[in-house]
Amino acid sequence: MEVQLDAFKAYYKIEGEYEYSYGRISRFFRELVENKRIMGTKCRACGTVFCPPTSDCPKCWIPTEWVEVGPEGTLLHYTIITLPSLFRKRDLPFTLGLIRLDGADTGLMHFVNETDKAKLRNGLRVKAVFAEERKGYITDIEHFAIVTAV
Amino acid sequence: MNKVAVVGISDTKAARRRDDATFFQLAYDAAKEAVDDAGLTKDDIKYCFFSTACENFNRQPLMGIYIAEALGWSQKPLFEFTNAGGASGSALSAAYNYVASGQTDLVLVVGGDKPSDADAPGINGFQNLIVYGNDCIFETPFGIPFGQFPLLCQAYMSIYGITEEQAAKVSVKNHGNALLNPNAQSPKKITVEDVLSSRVLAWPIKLLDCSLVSDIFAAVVFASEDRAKELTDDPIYIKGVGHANDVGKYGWREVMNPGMTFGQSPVIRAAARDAYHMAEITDPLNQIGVAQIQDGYTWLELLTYEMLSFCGEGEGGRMMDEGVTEIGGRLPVNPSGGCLGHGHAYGGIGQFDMAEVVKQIRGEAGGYQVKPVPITGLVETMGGSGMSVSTVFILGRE
Repeated sequence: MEVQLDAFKAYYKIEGEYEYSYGRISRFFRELVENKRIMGTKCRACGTVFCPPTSDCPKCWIPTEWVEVGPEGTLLHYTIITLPSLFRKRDLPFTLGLIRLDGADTGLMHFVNETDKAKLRNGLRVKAVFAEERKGYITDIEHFAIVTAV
Repeated sequence: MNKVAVVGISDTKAARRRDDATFFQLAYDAAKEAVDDAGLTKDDIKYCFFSTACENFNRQPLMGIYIAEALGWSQKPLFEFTNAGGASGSALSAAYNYVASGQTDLVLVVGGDKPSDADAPGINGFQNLIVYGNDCIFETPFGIPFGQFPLLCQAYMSIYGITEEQAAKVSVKNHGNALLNPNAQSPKKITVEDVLSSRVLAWPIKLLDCSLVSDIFAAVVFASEDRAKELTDDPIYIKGVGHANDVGKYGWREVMNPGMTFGQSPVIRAAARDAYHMAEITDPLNQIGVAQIQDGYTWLELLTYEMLSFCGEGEGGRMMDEGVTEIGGRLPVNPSGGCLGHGHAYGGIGQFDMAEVVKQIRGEAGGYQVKPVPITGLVETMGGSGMSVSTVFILGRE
């Protein structure tokens, strides 16, 4: 049912600004900004190390404790993005990876500084490169650079 | 629990843009079609369940209030569900339980989105809005409109040896099925080579691996067994329901689902397990006659075969190669054309696909009718930035 009619159109934009707290994972961002350190959280019961961190283990419902992870890790999976997005922080194409930081059990999504498919594969060792200017975002890590092939 | 039947369905042509209607109007049209199909009026029904993938696709916060207004749902309840492609499954599941529990004997379930409204001139606004559906602290800053799906597809390929060619066959099948469906948005005869050579958007995902963007609302009406028998001689019952959630952050998936890999979708497996248990399905490949499943990207259809136990782990590609899920195959999947060829109803995908399975079991699917007419069908919904929420329904005759 595609009825032909003389539809009238108009433009609309919704804008919103937020100032939010990182609550009990604030230390993750403070360490990135002040010390270029990546922190994970370890469950006091099951021992799982989360990075991205969580203040309480969602498996055990038990508080976690802070542990340092990385800055090196292993590239688990990756994609090379070529579709433009208004939100992109890097020029196209760019690579997005899932990285298991040394000492962590989970994967962290982040940019990988290599877009040549021939040079990318699962299992590559990568290392965090920090942004010069850091303001408390996950992109304070500028990207992960390939260290050596395994 | 009481038996619940599907007694009314909407059946609208899918379209990329519906400039002839607002989203309120599309919801109204779908609801009216389903209520008419059931042989009822809106005053017969007290409870309405409404689903939207994401209110900001439609630029209307508190959307359920305005949908209630459009439907004339005054002084009676309308519940709103929002959870990407999982919203409709949640709405249908809750609606089912309102009838099964005896709370009421008729419910209307309507859902959908009008993403073309977000296509402001010169930009693909809808793709940008999808970015906000990622984890707002750890993932949205990367600005990926596909969410976690390209990573998931690469994981599925690399862990299980699934090829880009096998995924491409899903696109060929579903666009081809759409040629038989007069309501389909993208009927096309294409080849595997066409898919492989289409524009790369987020390797391994190419343009023809992607589902459609559609302005669609869909609706169904459920009835108690007694009411269903008043309305029809041959009710189609909901015989099984299963629903599950999983982590939002893809990187947490393996530790939260021990024994499963990043290339799997634990939510679908969990939802299917409960639905199969309830419907006494022990051999899905042989007991189910037709399935409409979420094929948002080609790989997801193959992965979903595995998670629904149509085949074993890592065998989705082989199942496609063998033609098992073609319309003439042993278990036809997405005979309507699915999200790739028929239309992608986002917040109404469960209603949309349930209507298709009902048409198949009624024997009213025309050119894409599965033969012999199936007596048992499956509907699967999935949503989230990756595969984070899923609902599985088993439908069938008594």
